[in-house]
Amino acid sequence: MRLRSLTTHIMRTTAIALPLLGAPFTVKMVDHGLKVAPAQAWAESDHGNGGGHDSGGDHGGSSGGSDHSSSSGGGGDHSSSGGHDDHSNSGGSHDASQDQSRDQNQSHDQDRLAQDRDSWLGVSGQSSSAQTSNSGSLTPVPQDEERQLIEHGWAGDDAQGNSR
Amino acid sequence: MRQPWAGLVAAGLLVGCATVQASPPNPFDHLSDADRSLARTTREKALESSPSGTAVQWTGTPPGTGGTIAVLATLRRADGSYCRSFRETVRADSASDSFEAVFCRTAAGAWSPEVDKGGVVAIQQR
Repeated sequence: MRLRSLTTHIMRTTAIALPLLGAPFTVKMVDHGLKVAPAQAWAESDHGNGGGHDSGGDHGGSSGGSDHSSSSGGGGDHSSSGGHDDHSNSGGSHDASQDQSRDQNQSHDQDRLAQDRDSWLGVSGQSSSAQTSNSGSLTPVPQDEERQLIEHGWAGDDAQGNSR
Repeated sequence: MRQPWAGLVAAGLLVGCATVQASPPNPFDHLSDADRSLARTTREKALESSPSGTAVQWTGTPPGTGGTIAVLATLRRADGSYCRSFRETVRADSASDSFEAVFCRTAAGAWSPEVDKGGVVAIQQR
């Protein structure tokens, strides 16, 4: 509904603006608002609605107007996306070495972030303080036991273990 | 007919993407010693006394600097000592980093990062 309202608003604004610009136009009432049958210049600026706009007008009118003509606008976008394809093709001609260099820089930044993170956690340069064990042997502690540990303290469980 | 502004939009997107790729946000560049100390104290406190599923925050300076330590689980090692996994988020200067780590309690009563046999700290980036 909002899209339909917005489309209607744009159509109405355009209908007011076009005659001020001296452009020839006609306005048709469709089910859910105004439908502008614009001059050629308008059609071109509307992402290629141009071509089958008349037939699209009938189509939109029969099935809910503005929304449908919006999707017809999408068709226009699709046709212009052909142009984008050309653009992306030219993008594909980027030098592979530039991509590789960018990847290396990104990797370097990621490595530095990882080092900073280790330093933040007190890992780097303090391997002696970090505890070495097999992480795979870690087993979850039940909630009740965890609560007791928090309430009564963790001391006495380290190294000797199993005091609780 | 190609729109004249389409090229500008495409160029803007390319520049934006290149900027993002060139410099990923790194909050650690903008943290003072006081922030680091506060974060470390907050982490110790969270690991010591926060139940799993809860989070503790710290707020540094300038405004917008801070972090969160969310305790995920309590774990037991084969030797009977305890570890805790947590997810930490650090924010500074509009940058943030979030990661998971495992700290284990030492005999001296401190919480220290867990390292596996390969020497790799059990930290996973998020």
